[in-house]
Amino acid sequence: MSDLTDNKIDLTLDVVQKGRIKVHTQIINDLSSGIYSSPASCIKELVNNSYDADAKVVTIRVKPVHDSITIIDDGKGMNAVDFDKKFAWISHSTKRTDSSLSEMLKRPLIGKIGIGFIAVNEICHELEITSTKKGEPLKFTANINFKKYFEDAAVPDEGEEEGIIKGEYELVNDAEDSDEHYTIIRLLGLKESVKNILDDKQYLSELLKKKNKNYDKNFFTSMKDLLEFHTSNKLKSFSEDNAYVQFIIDLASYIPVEYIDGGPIENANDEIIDDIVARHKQLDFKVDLDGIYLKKPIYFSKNKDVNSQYLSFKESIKVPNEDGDEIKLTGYFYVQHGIIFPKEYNGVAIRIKNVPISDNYGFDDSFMKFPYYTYQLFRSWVSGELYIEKGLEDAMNIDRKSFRVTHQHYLALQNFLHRLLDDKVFKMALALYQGARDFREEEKKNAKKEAGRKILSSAKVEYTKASHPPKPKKGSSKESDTSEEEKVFAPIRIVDSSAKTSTVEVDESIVKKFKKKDWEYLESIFLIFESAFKEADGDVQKLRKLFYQKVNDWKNIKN
Amino acid sequence: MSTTPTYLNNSAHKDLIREKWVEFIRECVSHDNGVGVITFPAEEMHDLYIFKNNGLIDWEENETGTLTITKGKVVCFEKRSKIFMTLSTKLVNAVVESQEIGSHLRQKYEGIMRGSERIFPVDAVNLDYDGNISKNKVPIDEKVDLIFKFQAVHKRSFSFFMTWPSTEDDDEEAYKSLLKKTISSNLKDPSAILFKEEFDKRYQSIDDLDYDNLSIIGLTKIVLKKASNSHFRLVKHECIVYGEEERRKMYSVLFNFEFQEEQPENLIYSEVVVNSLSQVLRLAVNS
Repeated sequence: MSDLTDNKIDLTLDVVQKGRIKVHTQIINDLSSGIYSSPASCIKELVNNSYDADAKVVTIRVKPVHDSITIIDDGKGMNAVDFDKKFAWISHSTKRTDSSLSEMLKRPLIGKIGIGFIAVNEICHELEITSTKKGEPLKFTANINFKKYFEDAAVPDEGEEEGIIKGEYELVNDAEDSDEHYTIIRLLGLKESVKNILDDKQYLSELLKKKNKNYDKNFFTSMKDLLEFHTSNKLKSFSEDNAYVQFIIDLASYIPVEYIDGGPIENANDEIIDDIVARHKQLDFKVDLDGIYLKKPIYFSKNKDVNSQYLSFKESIKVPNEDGDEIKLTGYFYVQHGIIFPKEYNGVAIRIKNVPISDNYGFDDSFMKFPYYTYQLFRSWVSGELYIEKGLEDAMNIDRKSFRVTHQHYLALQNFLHRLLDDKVFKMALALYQGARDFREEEKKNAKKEAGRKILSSAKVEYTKASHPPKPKKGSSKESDTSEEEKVFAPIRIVDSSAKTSTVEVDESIVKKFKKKDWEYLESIFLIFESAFKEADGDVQKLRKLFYQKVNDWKNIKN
Repeated sequence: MSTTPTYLNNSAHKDLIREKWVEFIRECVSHDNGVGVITFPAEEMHDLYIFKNNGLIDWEENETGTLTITKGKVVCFEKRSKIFMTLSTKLVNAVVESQEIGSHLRQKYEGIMRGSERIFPVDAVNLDYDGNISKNKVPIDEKVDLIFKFQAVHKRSFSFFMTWPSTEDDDEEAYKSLLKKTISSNLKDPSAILFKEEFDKRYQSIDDLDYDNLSIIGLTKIVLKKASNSHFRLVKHECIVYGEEERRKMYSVLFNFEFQEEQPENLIYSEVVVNSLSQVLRLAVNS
């Protein structure tokens, strides 16, 4: 086995031997291709790069799904040297070491690891980038062929001790107006699987079929429009929707854009939530995807049929470590009586630099592994966001989708969150549950009372020979006719009786106005009637007397 | 509803030509469901506005102030980064390519011939150059050839327009000799006797042709030859030379072609040459 390494390890007994641990270059390919799980998560890396480059507007053109995706930003741009030193040097980001804020707009920087562009090899075969910096009269265009990137072996870079050469790019400089600053990225040679995801033609034809169902459109006009369409279909999860819609929502969930107008909680009158919304607006960052502005797709609308509450907070958590670290955060929880749909909103979104650290549209439905057995019923009733303002960054994994669960910052936040859930959030859910139960019982009681009032009021329960309600008088309103009808007629009438039989007619026109609860009372009335009928033994006068007597007795019991 | 912007750096002549584009397209194809166009619209997108106002394409304005193409197919080529950005931003659901059209078509040859590329077929190809056409990487004859080949894959009749400036002093020698060689071989073509007769009435040799006629006749002949090679029969054509003081002289040629699968290409070419080249010559001379 000694030929496996160059370490000269042999099988000699009782001799200490030393060897070097080696890493196969294949790991670079694995790391380059396995990190990002969807087209949206690849493209969000580029959008977040634009944000870090102080872009105010990013334009993404996907449609018509053809062979390319174009991403344009008006950020500070690069020259060929910047490209070589930063963009084309994977995992050598200098963004954080230079400053934690962007150069011009002083935004908190998102990029940390510097593997942004390589993410897109999952969706295309070639990347073309054109960029220019303000004040420099030139631009460059570079091409990276990913096929070649994966085929080329990694070799040590003789000029840079920390570098490994992997793949090549071609670059050409050209003249440009020195006032210009932009970056254009074109993802060329889209993979067929990606085209299938992005092509919404079939979906749009389904939309067109729904023309007569309030949707007469060829495309979505805004994120709100898109979400409203989703909810109008009563879908319980984004995963039940079309792949293109999922792509849009997925992308919008992971970039630092504003909330949908009115979001996250409709009519929330809360300073902290208002501050969170305002801070997003202040970022002055817009992303135009095929003609709609992407917005954070979180919107809990005020629904009169669903009781809900919210809680906001601003906290500082001490990390129990030697450095005395601190985690600062702000956030809110929304709790409603009943399951939250779409179900992807359920859980907690932990946002670092405004970007959620979780798969599944940003929400972690385990609430940082909240003990499974506790508050099971209420977990699906809760949605919240924690904006981390300080700390936790080192606890993030390379994919920015998960945390190192043994990191002290993670543990401190987990502890805080679980206490918050236990002490307040799930208690709010419990209160909503109890409130609803009390309300239901009260409703039940009221319904019984109301039914009793309707049926047992002696003025209403009268024998009549009329087989139909009287016709409304001319000039009388419908409303007053109805109330008149209710006063005069009971739903059951004895319409015929002889020595041996009685016929009881149920008046459907009135019966239809009765609720389920009323029928429970009606059943009682029927039983009373049956009992009186048996006892009367064919005597009509006796039957009438017994019936009303029993009803009155029963009334007294109910009251 | 969007309105047509005031034409910048425009002229009545160019407006006339744009109207003719619409007229040609309308005669060539049914446009009820919109037409597919390949074009170089520049920042102002004059041709697209004209096509929209004449119902050949349509769009709706978005919340971002951009325009989503809702009727027809729009394919734009623009290699100047700034204009590419403007077009990409302004138009949604349109293909905007940053390469020069010839390079793009050459690069995508196999995909387009297989039908997997979605640029073709179209109903109109409008090569509206404002720069020197002799300096592109892909020679004009190859470019034209590719367009006809790709349209032939889909057996689609179409309108073909070319507009380009007179850049005699700056034109590449290779381009000039291509024009001369094309005309020269046509003069020797037995099926082009009428053209030869017309030519001989006016000129002793090709070198006597002025640059306007050399350009118009040469380019027209290239187009017709490539068209017939791919079984396209000329249905209608027009050639215009225009220009104003302090502006460059411009050439414009307009054609409508019909795909004729059954007819042999040499027959189509003979018919085209006899019926049209003599007129081209006269039109060019008269203008």
